[in-house]
Amino acid sequence: MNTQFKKGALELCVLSQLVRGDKYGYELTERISGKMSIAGGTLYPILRKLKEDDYVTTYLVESESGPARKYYKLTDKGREYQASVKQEWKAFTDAVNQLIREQEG
Amino acid sequence: MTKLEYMTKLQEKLEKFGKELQEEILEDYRQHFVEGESEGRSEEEIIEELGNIEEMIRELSEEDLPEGFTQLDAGKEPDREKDVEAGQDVRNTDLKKSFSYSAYYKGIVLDGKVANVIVNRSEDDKIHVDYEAKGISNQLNYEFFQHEEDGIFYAGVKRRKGGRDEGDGGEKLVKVTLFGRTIISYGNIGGFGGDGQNITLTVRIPKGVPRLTVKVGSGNINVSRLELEAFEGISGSGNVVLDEMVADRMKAHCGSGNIKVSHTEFISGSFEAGSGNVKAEMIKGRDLKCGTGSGNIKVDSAAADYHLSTGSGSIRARAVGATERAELSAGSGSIRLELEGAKGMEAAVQSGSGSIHIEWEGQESQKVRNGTYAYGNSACKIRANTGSGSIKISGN
Repeated sequence: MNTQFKKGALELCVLSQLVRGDKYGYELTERISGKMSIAGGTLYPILRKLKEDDYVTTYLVESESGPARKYYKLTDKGREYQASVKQEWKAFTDAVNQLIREQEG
Repeated sequence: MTKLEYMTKLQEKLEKFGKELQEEILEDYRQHFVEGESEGRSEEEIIEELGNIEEMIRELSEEDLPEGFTQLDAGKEPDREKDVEAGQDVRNTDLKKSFSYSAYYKGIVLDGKVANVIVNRSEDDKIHVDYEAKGISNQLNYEFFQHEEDGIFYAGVKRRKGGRDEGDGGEKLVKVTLFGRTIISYGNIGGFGGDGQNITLTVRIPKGVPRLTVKVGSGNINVSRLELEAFEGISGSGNVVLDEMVADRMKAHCGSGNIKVSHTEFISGSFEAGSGNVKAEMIKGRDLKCGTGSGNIKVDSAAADYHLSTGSGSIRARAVGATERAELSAGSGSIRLELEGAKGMEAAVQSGSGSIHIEWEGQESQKVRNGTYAYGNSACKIRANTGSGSIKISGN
C-alpha cells in the first residue's frame, strides 16, 4: 500500500482509538495491528508526530509489569482534528466505494 | 532474530536521527517488549508484531527529514583542486560523492530536478558540494553534473543517459492529496514518498558570491546563512525554506509546496506559492510581497511596503515599525493586520459578506462598514479587500 495513504489512515485509527479514552503504546499497537497487517512499530513515530503537533499529550503511570507506562491523551485540538479527518476519510471512501460499484455495474 | 539483534539493528538505524529521538523510539520499543513479555509472548512474536524496522524508519524519515537535513552525514571530504572526483562511499545503497572548487564565480546556478538542495555558508573560500543518492534507482537514473560558463558555476542533478524513462521527474506531476498530504504522485521518484529513496545535494558557498539561483522540480530547497546580492529559488512541488539570509533582492516561487522565510533581511522580497502557504517571520526589508493561490499567508516583519494576496486562504500579518503601505487581498479568506509602531493609518476596507473591525491605540474595536477610515497622522496607507472573509485591523 502507498505509504502516505497508509499513514493518513493509521493516524486516523490512532486518533479514533484515543477518542474513547487514554491508552498506552502497547495497547494501541495491539488494537490496531490486530485488525490490519502493519508493522506495529510504525505507530510510535506516528504518536510522536501527533504529540509534536499538539494533538496528543503524554503522561506516565506506574505499572505492575515493569517500567512506567506512557499514556497518550487526546487534546481538544486533537479531538477537533480527529473529527475533521474522519469527515475527509468518509467523503473519500464514499467516493471510492461509489467508483468501485460503478465498475461492477 | 533475537530481541538483542533486533534492538541492535534498531539502534543503528536510528543513529542518523540524533540521540534524543533515537533514545525516545528505543524506549518505546523496550517498553513494548516488557508489555508483551508480561503477557507471556515470546520474543519472536513480539518482534513479528513490531515488524520491519525499515518500515518504521521510513515513517520517521518522512517526518523528520525535511527539517533535519543537517543531520545527514556529509560524507568524506577530499580537499583537492577543481574537478576532482573522490570520496565515493558505497555503503548499503547510498552513493556519496564530495567535490571542492576553488575559483571565483560571479554567480552559482544549482539545478536539482528531483533532488533536495541544501545551501549554506562555506567556512573557507571554496565551494563544497556533497552529492548523496539513496536507493539503486536514483543511482542508475540520475547523476551529478558540474560545468562553468562565463564565470557562472553550474551544478546539479541530471538524468543519466539510458536511465529508465519515467517521464521527467520534476516537470510532469500528478498529485492526489488527502489530509493535506500527497498520497499519490507520479514522476516524483526522488521525493520523500515512493520507496524512501532520495537524492540530496548539499552545497556550501563562500562569502562574496553575488548571485545564487536554485531550481528544483520535486525536491525541496533549503538555504541558510548566506549574504548575497540576489537570490532566486524555484521549486515545482517541493518546499522552499530560507533562513538567516541577507540579500538585496530575493525571490522564491513554488508550485504546490510551502515557502518559509525567517530571520532574513532584504531590500525587496517576493515569495509566491501556487497552492501552498507562505510564511515570513522575523523579516526586515523595504518591500515584501507574498502571494498564494489557495494557501494562507502569515507575516511577522518590519518592512515599509507590504503586498499580500491569496485566492482562498487567509492573511495574518504583524507589521512592526514605520509601515508605509499595506495592500492585502483575499478572495474568500479573512484578513488580520496588526500594526505596531505606526503614527497613524488610513484604512480602506472592503468585504463582500464578512464583518470588519478596526481598533486604534487601545480603544475598543469598532465594527465598521466598507469605506475609508483615518487615524493619527494617516501615515500608513492600508487597503484590505476580501470577498467573503472578515477583516480585523488594529494599530499600536
